Amino acid sequence: MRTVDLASGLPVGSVFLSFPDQEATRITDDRGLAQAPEATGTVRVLATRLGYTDMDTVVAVPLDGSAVEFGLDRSAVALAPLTVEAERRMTSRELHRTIFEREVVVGAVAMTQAEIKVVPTVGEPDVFRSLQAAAGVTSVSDLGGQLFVRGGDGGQVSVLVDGAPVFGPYHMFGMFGAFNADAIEATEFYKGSLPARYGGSLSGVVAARHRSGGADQTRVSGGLSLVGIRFAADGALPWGELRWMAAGRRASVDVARLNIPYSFHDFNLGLQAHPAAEHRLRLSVFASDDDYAWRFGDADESATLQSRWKNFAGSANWSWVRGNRLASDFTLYHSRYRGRMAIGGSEESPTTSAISTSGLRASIAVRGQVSGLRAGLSIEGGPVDLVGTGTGGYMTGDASRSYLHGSAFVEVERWVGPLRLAPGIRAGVETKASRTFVEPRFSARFRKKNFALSATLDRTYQFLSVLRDAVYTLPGAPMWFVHETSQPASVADGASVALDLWRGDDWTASLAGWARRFRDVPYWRADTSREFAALEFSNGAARGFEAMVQRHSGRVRGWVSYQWARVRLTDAEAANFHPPWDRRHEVDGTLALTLPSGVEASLRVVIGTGTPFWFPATSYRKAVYDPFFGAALTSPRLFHVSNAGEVPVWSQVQGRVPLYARYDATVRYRIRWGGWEIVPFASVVNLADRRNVLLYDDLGGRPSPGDDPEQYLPMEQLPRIPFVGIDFRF
Amino acid sequence: MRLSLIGPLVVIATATACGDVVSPPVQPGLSNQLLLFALLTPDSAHQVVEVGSADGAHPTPTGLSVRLYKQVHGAGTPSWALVANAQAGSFSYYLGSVCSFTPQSYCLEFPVDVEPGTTYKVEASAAGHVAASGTTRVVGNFQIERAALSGNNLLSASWTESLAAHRYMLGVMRHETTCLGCSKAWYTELAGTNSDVTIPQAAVDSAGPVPTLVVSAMDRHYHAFLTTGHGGELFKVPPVQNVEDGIGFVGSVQHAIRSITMNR
Repeated sequence: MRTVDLASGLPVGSVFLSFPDQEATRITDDRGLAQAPEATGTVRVLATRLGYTDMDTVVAVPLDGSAVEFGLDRSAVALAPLTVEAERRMTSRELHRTIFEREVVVGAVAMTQAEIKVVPTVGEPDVFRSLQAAAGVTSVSDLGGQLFVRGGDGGQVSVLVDGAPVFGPYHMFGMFGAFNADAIEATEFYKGSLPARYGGSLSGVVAARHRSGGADQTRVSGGLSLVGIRFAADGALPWGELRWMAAGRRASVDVARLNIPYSFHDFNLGLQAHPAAEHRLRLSVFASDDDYAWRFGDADESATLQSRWKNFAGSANWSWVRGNRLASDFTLYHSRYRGRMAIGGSEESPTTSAISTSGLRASIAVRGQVSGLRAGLSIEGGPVDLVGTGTGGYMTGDASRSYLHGSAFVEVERWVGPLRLAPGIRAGVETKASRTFVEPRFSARFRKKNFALSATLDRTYQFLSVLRDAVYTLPGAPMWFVHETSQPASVADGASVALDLWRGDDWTASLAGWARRFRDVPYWRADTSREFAALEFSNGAARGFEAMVQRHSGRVRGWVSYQWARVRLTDAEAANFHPPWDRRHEVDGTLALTLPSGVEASLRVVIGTGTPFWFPATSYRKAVYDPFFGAALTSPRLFHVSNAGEVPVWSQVQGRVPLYARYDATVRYRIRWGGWEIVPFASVVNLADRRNVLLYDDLGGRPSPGDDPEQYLPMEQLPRIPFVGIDFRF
Repeated sequence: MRLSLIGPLVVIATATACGDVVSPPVQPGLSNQLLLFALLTPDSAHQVVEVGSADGAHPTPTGLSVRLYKQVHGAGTPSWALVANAQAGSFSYYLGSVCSFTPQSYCLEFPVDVEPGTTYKVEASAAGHVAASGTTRVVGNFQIERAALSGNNLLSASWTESLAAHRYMLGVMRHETTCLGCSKAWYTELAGTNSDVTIPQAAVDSAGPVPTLVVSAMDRHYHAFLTTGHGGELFKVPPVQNVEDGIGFVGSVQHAIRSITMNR
């Protein structure tokens, strides 16, 4: 039997064929071919595949043994990515194929829960660390799970869970993400270029989707490790086809070899109901809380960094799929974020960041034989407060204001033979600042048997940004602010091209090149002033090349990616600099091995050239008010400088830290016992205990002429850290 | 993929893991900025300025010149009138004042009075460095009118207003001590001119049998410099500063002191 696309005539692989009378199933290969079971006369066939209309038909078996050909009609699924989903968990290859078929835009990838769990990381399987392993993504340090995508800053990537934005999606200083891997079904990741339905972030979107719950019996999974305890459960309720999923995680640790009491927890809830065959309702809740205090050795109380941040993101979604040609989707969401950062002994006046935003998105998709249209509206708004006053603040000033943003988008799709054209446009207005945005997006793909060539041109605006010290990053709560009326919105223009290749269902490969131009991205070099007023805006450009090869299934599977990138920005004084995420070469590979004995081993290798940093020019003693020093009152001095440490003066001179290399490994042993699956595991982060450099510190003393000029002390990143734990499922 | 691929990966891992961290070489000319710390006090006949190079590799600037300007209001826009200046060679080391931020900076004493409420500019220049400057409005003299400590450690105090003061720092100290800085300081800050605050017992004990109240009226630059940022081993944060094209602060302070009456 052979399955072909009704519009293009091209073969369609991965079609699930069911023969109920013969109690047999088949899946077509890349040529669209599958061997039918032995039958004579007629045979009933059910053909299903994401992106195509289900087919239930009876065919006559040819007497001469020739192949029966099915023409499959594309369905609305292709343009309604978050509204229609498979009832079962997709394999890695199926998910990759699905997003590839659905999205023409260059750089759209996805990860299954299984892929996320295979990546060794710090204690817990992690969505963000796994996405960092994708080509085109740079990590700056072990402390940062942020995604620096195609030359963009980490704050230029929106994170959504079931459509609701999450503003502080990290745990453990940002070492890993806030999403419990047991609660996430799949994660879509748009690198650099975005479809027109997404906006507001220059460099990418992470769209995570909660699991939808089990169809039959209740399932429970979880884990216990040195980091903490986590659980997830799902099942179905007997009325209204209501499915549920709940997950939670809690940790309270004192990070090994450091004096850092840290605690966090998170919670996920998903409900899904099908009140009628064409309607689906979803309710999603995500909440998290992080709290830590980092005390620096035996220094006085001023040597403390404290931070706490909380997220709440909830959404309600109604999806209505009418026939195979029309789908509509409505999402109402609310997201709250509270972050604080205090530096020094005082907790009285930290810098606080607070967001309370609500929004509504509505879209409709219409699908024809060789064309499609998707259009939608969205409105979002709320207060965004950034306040820093007095002692202990990360910044000083008050950048509080609210915003109201409305936008509309149109995505069009048209097949012309093997060519698929997908122009789109997004337009919006930010009413409080009277700003308007017009964002053209255009993608095209030429597809032949085992390869596809895609290209995208796009423009994106961003006016809700993270305030981040451009020179010296502090781990902790992100500090969000809305660009004030007098400040420009940030803009990114990009062009990218990609060649995708695949071989059967096992192997895929991609090569991509991209060039991007940035305008008015926030640049806060808080050296001579920590006032918000010191914020400037920089322009710049980035370009890069990336390659990735992946094996999706088999006893040995995994992927390896390579990226070459170059990023250069220019500040308001026309000085050029390379931001800390300008890692020129990076190889990132994950290898997973499954043995028949139930042992699974995985290894992640990350090797990258050094990232830029600014040399400290000198340092001077920090002064604090101290009335005891005014005892004699012989001078106007009423402060002391002796015990509070030194503060740096950053130079304009940049260097690069040495080569970065880290190897993480995990070994799991899967035990099945009755209805239980128990998986004890051991992980080691930084297996080689390599001393990767986080930053260089001025030793404090200013050298006299003739002294040894090497005055910089390397501060190391994570040492070798072993973890053990146990996962379970029943 | 075959198991044999694991071998090369291990070799790569081993090879790259052996490298030691090498400190980067210091590069000359790391900064062409000047460090400038100036604190103007209205009841002092000497205004003290500390100035040095922000270039750690070449800490001693040559051709150093510091000027003190006063803002004057004529018929048109305000302008700056030179009050005093000092060239390289006339610097003295003025122990016990502002000058203690860096060991290799110059300490300069301007023998001039400054007028409360008037804005002054301090400007420093040196060969191979960008000229740095900062301005401050000098705070006014004031007096403590009342300072009493009740049995429950409630400190009741009031003082006259200091012209141009941004904040008042209120500290309780031992009037005579042989060990400066040996005890933990206690202080609070206020925007108004009176206080009813409870002092921790430890601060009362440290202040001895005759505790003294000191109130410091600060302009906003000096206040911000003292109360923001932090040092330490990691993640040190510079304080708020107001020197343009340089590092440091130009601020103003005035202190008042009075013995605390013990109502116990």
